[in-house]
Amino acid sequence: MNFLSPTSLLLFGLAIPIVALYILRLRRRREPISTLMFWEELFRERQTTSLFQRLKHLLSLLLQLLFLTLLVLSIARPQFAFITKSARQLVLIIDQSASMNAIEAETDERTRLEVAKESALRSVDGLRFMDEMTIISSHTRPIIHIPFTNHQKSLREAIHAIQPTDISTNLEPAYDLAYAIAQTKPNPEVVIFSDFQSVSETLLAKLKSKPEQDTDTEAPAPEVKQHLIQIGKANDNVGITKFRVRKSLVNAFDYQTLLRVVNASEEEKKFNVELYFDENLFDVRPYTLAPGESKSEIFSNFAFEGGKLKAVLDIQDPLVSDNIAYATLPKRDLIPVLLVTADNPFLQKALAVDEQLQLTVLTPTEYETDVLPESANSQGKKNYQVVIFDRYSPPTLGDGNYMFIYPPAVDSSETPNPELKWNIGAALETPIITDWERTHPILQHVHLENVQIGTAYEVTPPSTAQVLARSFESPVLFIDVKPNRKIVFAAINILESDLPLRIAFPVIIANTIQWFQQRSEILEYHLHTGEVLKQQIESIDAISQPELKTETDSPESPPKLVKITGPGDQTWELPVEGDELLFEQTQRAGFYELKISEAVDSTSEEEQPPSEVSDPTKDNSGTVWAVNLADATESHIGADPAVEDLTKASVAQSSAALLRYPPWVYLVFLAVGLSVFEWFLYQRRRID
Amino acid sequence: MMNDTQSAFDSEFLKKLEYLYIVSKKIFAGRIKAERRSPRRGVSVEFADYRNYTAGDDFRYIDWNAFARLDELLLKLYEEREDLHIYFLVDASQSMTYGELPKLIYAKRVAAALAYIGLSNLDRISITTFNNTGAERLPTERGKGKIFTVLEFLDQINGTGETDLETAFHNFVHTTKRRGLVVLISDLFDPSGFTNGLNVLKFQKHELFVIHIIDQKEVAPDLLGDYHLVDVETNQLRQVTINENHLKRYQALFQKYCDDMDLYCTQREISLVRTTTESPFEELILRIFRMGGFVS
Repeated sequence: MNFLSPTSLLLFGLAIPIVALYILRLRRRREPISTLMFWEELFRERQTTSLFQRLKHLLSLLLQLLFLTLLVLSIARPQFAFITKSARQLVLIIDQSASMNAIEAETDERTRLEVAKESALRSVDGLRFMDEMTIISSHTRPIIHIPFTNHQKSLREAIHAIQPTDISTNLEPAYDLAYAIAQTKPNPEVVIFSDFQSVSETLLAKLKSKPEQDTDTEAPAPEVKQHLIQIGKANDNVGITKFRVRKSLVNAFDYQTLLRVVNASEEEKKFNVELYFDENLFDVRPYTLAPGESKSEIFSNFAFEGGKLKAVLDIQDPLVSDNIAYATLPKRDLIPVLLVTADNPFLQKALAVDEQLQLTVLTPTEYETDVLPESANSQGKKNYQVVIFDRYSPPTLGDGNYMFIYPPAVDSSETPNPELKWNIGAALETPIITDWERTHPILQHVHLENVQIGTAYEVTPPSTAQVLARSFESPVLFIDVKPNRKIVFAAINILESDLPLRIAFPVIIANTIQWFQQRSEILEYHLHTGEVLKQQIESIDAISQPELKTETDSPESPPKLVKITGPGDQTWELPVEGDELLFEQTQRAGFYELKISEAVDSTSEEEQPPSEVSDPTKDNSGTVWAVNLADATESHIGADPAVEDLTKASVAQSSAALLRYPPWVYLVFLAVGLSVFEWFLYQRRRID
Repeated sequence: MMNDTQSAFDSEFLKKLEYLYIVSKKIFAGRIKAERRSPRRGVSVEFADYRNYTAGDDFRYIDWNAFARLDELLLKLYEEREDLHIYFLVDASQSMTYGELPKLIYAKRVAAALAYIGLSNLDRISITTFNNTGAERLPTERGKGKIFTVLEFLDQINGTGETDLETAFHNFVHTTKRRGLVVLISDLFDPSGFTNGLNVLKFQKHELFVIHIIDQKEVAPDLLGDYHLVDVETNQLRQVTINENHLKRYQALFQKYCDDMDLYCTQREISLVRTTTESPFEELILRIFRMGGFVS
């Protein structure tokens, strides 16, 4: 035993005045009474215990000296080696996945996460003196909420700060991190609070055998004790495991929604699936699912203007998060396309087929006189999202999306744009397309075998280009993507080929338009919970504000903020930095609405709310993302049977551990207790 | 301790005496008034019994009517009337001065009240104090007008000396030849016990009425802690540390003492009344009357 403050032992000198005061006790009070006969008889009976009487006179002094000893020892702050050696290093892992939001009778109608946090708080209460604890939550990636500490208030605050999420279970990284941290400490223990409803094979193997220790280190790593605390057992759950939207294959202005529902319980379930469009109920479907059965269904016939779609399972089950799914149906606006051609009916027909396009056809002369002067550098970007040049090459080319079909060679002296100096070589007679990129979006669903081509020419693509199709002699189709410009170049004269007569032709044209628009059949604006939301700044609310980027780029304009409104009206404001917005706080399922607003100078306009950039008369509904749990494994909320055996074998938590406080605290308590005891004895006249 | 300035008999007390007398008359209404009849047979107007005639009896008391009917000589017996002698034995030891209201004051008041009623009933009253230093005696008085003599005597009694019941009562019986009602007013704190003293009185055929006066602090002392207990009679010192167990044990001992006294008196047909000085003395007087032992 050592003392942190050994000089305090000098206080033992206080024993001298205590003994002196004991010897010089106050005189007894004198009390006249009418007769002593009763008292004499009384104390005559007690004379047999005279030895005890003498001892108890000394007991008072001994108690006071013991009281002094305890106080002095507590002030000297003793340290015991066995306490230091037995100090534990606890790593608490709290599962933060969606299934931990399940409410069941076993958890007293509280969420599993609340029960887990309560258990974790009990573990904090059970911390002993010198024990340390760290807390990790299994988010999309493990989050260390607080490093190793013994400060119980901080630990409790860290536990309280853990909020429910709708993300999928991801325990393994947290376990690996916890184990790696624990191995660096003496007497490590890992405690996992989870429902263990979805445990990967690798994690299960680790739980059974524990991870291998690092053999490179010189000292052997200490054995890590692990405690698996299972929260909740119910598996009586039904959930939506998929809710995705795509453009309708039948109607270009419609969407198709795929809904998949699974009955993860062991009983047959009957319930209704309700579909809400912009919070208005528009369809109800009765479902009857056998245990373990899943059912998929496709919904269509949605509004042209787009909106928010929500699917709700009308059923009472433990997990509510997977009973609701969200989808965003973007407004389907027409795409302005400019075709510059002398005359190409095939191309016009192919473009006219696509109902999404707003086609404008100009001759080269009209283009040069009407359009080109107005858009010297931006080249019609404001008006046309795609410009197709058929056997024509403009003198200048600004930013934008362009498709060149068999353009003529341009004399370098006639154009300032070096991109327009196509390295066109000799003409090719009946080239055969030998190879093409079948997976590229432009050539998706396209077969170019045996296409008869009458006229083409050799062309040497720029170094930045990607060849999509080639003949034996030369590339016939390539793309060149620059930061502000996309170009598709076709080196064949389609009028002298049978390509326009093939199904592939309108498909290529449609694919090209979509590629320019960066649109896929599966619509964007859908995420799984926990995924990072990536959004081009310029495309936020792009449908309603196509000119936004121009305004944003203006050096005089005030700084912009992206205001994100999530589920439960939770809001975030992020400064606009760069071209892309990255947002990670998507742990709750629901709609996330993105809007751009001007940042308010806090020094001058504190009370003025952020102003919307766009004209208030315009539609500025923002860009809405739908974030869903939609995870079949998460809907199976019952514990993994393999893990249940491990949790049963796990050592129970130590509750209300001894030696929770430093030794001096116990000494003070003992001293106080002794003082009370001495006072009691004195009051009862057991001591003098 | 007794307060020297405290008088046992003030004007209020005298009013209470008259009140007690009136109340006592109501209590005894319907009984034989004023006089106490002797158990001995004698000459009086009230017939008591018959007995057979024997030679030498006075012919005048032969019941001739009975002789005519029964042909047997029967002698009529009449109740003998005699004056009652009431002897008050007042404990004047030092222990009687104990208490906020000293027991001696209380004893004087009780004695005065009973004496007044006795004088009013034409009884003969005598008061004797006792302790180990000697006795003072008020000779026999009779008549209501002697009450002031009685009060004067009682007022000059001071508590001093120790209690020695046996010696005191021996002295009393040797100087008192005529038997009567002995009213003993004392705390009976005699280290040698109370039985020997009472036996002396009982053997002399006195009717005995014991008024046991105690202080509430003697019943349940509020002593806790370290004390030097001083016996006020002997000045004997006892160093004690008293706890609650001691107090309980003390109360048990005191109660046993009282129980023994009750048993003793019951077995010997001695009237006993016990009171604390907290109880108003007039209530005690009324209680005595209702018991019927004092005047019956």
